[in-house]
Amino acid sequence: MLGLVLSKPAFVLPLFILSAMVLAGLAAPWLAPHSPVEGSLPNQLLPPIWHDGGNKDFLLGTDNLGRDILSRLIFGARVSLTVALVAITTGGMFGVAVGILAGYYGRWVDALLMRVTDLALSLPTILLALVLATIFEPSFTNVNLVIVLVLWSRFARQIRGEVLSVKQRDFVALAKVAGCSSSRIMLRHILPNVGNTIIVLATFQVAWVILLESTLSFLGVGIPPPNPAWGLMVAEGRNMLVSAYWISLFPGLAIALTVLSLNLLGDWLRDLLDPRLRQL
Amino acid sequence: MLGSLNRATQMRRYIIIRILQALLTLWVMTVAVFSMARLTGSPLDVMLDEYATPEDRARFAKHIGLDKPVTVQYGLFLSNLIRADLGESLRNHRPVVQLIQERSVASLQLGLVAFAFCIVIAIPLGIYTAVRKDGLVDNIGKAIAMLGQSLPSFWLGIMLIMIFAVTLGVLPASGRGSLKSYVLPAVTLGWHAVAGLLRLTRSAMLDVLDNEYVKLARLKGLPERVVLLKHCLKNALIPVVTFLGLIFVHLLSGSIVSETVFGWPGLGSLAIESVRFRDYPVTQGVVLFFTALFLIVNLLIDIFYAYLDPRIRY
Repeated sequence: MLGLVLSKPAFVLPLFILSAMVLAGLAAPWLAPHSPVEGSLPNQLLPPIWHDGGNKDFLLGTDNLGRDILSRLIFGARVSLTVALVAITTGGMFGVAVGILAGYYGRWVDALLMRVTDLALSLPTILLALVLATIFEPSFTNVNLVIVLVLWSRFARQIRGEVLSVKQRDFVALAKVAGCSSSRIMLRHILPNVGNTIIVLATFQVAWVILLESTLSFLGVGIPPPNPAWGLMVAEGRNMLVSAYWISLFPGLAIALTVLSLNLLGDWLRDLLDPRLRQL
Repeated sequence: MLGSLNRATQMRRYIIIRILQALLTLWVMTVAVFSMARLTGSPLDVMLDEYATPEDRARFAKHIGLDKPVTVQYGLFLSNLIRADLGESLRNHRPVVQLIQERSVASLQLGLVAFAFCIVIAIPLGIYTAVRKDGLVDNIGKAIAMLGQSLPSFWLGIMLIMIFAVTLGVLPASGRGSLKSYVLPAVTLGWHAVAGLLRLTRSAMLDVLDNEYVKLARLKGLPERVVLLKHCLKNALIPVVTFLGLIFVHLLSGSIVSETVFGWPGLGSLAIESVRFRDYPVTQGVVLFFTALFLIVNLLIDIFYAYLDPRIRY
């Protein structure tokens, strides 16, 4: 694996960025120098270290409540990571299951499941989030709910198409002849053969989920304050661009780098694992 | 079996099924909007402000049929919707329909400018990068496409404000007024779409450039300009034109972000304001309006596409 990575130097950087993000998310309490939510007013609006008046205790400066930007960034990685993990494990697994069932059984099962999938695909995510946020307070649960509601269908569509072709292959027919049950064929014979597609798809979808979550948080209908969500941090610095640009700049950069790395990695994995997906 | 049906029957079948699908999505959204207001306990708390008197509450409860079974309530809700009665804003007690009408103009204008921006940038650049494949501009184009996918548009908007409004002071940071005020919101709104359209135009051109008739046109000694514009572009534009409809849908949903960043007085910022003030009738109205618009545009694209490409089967 390492040799493979090193053979493509262009991908060392995205992998490095993603590893740093995951590490930051996992080890946030040990890495972050300050609390992500508690500020100290005497330290409010400190500039980053390279400006006059920068403080070496607050490398990337502080916001208007005196909270350390670096610490909020590090804990913010944890927020994005959690949302992505929850969304991909629940929505992704459900979508894969639906895709395999629809592709394997065909006929009315396929017709029914695909109609529901099309319906979910056509749901306007941001609008749904607006409705949820007006009625209930914005919350972690609402964000995940909205994302999963649409995410699963993106998996189901693609996996179903893949299963349709895998199902035609000889080993499936042989397994049937050998007396395997349908559930065994789906789990043991079909699922491993769509594994590569799932990996590639999941990489792109994590990028989509992170972008969507940060957009919702920016609009005030996602992760509620005082949580250190990156999108929320960008919104908090919006009215202070003249005096304190760093509040918005760094979290936005973190989102952009993470999503960019995931998209590059996805492209690369697709070429490596599943060249047929290229035309998509 | 389908093959034996003639083309016109098939088309009709396809269009009817697509219309039913769109209606189904719209129906699901109305059920969602309707039931969520009731999930909180009493829709009165969501639909009326805190200054409502007991008489107000009783009158409104009667208006939405709160004493009747839920199915009857939903029927009332739908019949109000069909008569374009979306209720009143909790903030200023004005009819929601009127608010939507007022704000639509600004959104439409911004959308059109962003749309024009996409076409003017992406299509020529797409053609050029296909012709000069792997050249410097092609690589720049690839980078633009990658960044378009990855940069969060709200952050891009803020960075544009920082550069062009705060630092250089050449363009206004917010509000709607002179022509200049359109530049930054339109670029922010169109940015994602530029990336998509650029990639599509490039790959459509590359496909066409490979064709025999292009080689023939060149062999005949036609000038390169004629080959490119007359023989290639015309054919490459078919997938591009159908994509334009999708861009429109994209701009619709993107307007929420762009309008929020730039304080643009359109539908998107109306929606966000309504969330901030917990003005549920307005949120509900804008969301349903957006959904309907979405579905109509998508439907038209699909039908148009089916006419263009006879291979489409439902």
